[in-house]
Amino acid sequence: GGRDDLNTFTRGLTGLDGQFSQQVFDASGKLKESSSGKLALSAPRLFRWEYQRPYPQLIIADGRNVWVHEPDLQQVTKRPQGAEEQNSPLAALIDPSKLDAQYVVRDAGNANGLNWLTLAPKEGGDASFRSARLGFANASLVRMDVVDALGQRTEISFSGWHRNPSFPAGTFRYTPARGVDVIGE
Amino acid sequence: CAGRATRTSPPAALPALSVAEQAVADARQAERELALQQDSQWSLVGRIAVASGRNGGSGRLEWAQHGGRFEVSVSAPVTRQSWTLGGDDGGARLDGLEGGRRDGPDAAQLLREATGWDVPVPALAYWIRGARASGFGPARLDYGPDGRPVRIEQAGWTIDYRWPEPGDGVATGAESAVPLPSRIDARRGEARVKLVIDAWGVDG
Repeated sequence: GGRDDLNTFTRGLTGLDGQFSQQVFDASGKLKESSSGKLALSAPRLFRWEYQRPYPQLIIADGRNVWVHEPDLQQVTKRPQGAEEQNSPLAALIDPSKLDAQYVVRDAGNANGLNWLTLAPKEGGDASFRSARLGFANASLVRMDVVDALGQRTEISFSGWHRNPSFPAGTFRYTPARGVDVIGE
Repeated sequence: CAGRATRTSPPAALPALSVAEQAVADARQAERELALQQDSQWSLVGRIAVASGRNGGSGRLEWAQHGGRFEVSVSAPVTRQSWTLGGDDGGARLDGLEGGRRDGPDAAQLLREATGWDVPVPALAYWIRGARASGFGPARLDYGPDGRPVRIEQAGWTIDYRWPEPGDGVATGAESAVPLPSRIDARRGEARVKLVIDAWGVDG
């Protein structure tokens, strides 16, 4: 089931890169947004989300700070990397022991061809979402769904995973270009 | 007509309008604002970037307005964790942030206290459509060659506009009679609010 797939998928996993497509539904289930791009993850706490469509946006966690660059708005926001990243289900993937430490993880059986694991934040934990679930197809993570505190549901599908790739230098580093205002601590 | 607040330089590229042209543009603007008042139920999706000194952030923006009542939601990248600021002239509530729901008489103050973001919500509901905010004091306008405002100065804020060029991808929902901006850039002292509007929807 989902638990075995998680174990298989995360065994010996220190890094990933691949593509994602993301759909966001409002609390009544209406599709609000579709976007897609590339992402990279590297143990223990580095990640890079590169939205390409419908517009470019880059989010990089370099281990100390999280940078969000919005080219169309010519703004870069920088904030210390903290709990928010650590309690995102995806961050826990690279360190599965953290999954059990932070969430109540349950095998939710098979549905539409995927084995599912549900994640519920533990009481008192500071997770920023109401519930989440991970979907596996032949022991590879292909879906992550997150429902936030207002009932908004985000569905992210993953494809083209490369396991433990060698990341080009600078993948998880961000240096603001001149002339772009950097906001934040 | 437009009050004479302190004049800051209009966007450099602009030829100053003659007195007659200014009067014509002011009249057309008043007409535009009247039409917008009738069209009091609107919505938009876009993106917002806020900078208030060291505080700030950015996210996906949804704004729905029903007359005086507004519902403004901002979702963060990736997790799309979102907050929603709703309210009318009676009061405001802010949902979705840590610590749960907050209520208060003034939406802008509620948001500033909870997030450090300085967003002039009630006035922005007018400025965002390229109109002077009624009840917020005298305003000064600069117009582009096509007579649409390129800058409004009001209540201490300076708001610069970009309007869709023919063929721009900005969906304007049902053909709304009144042209609407595609980008605004508002500043007051250290506070800055930048909005890119991806689509206007006419029904709320």
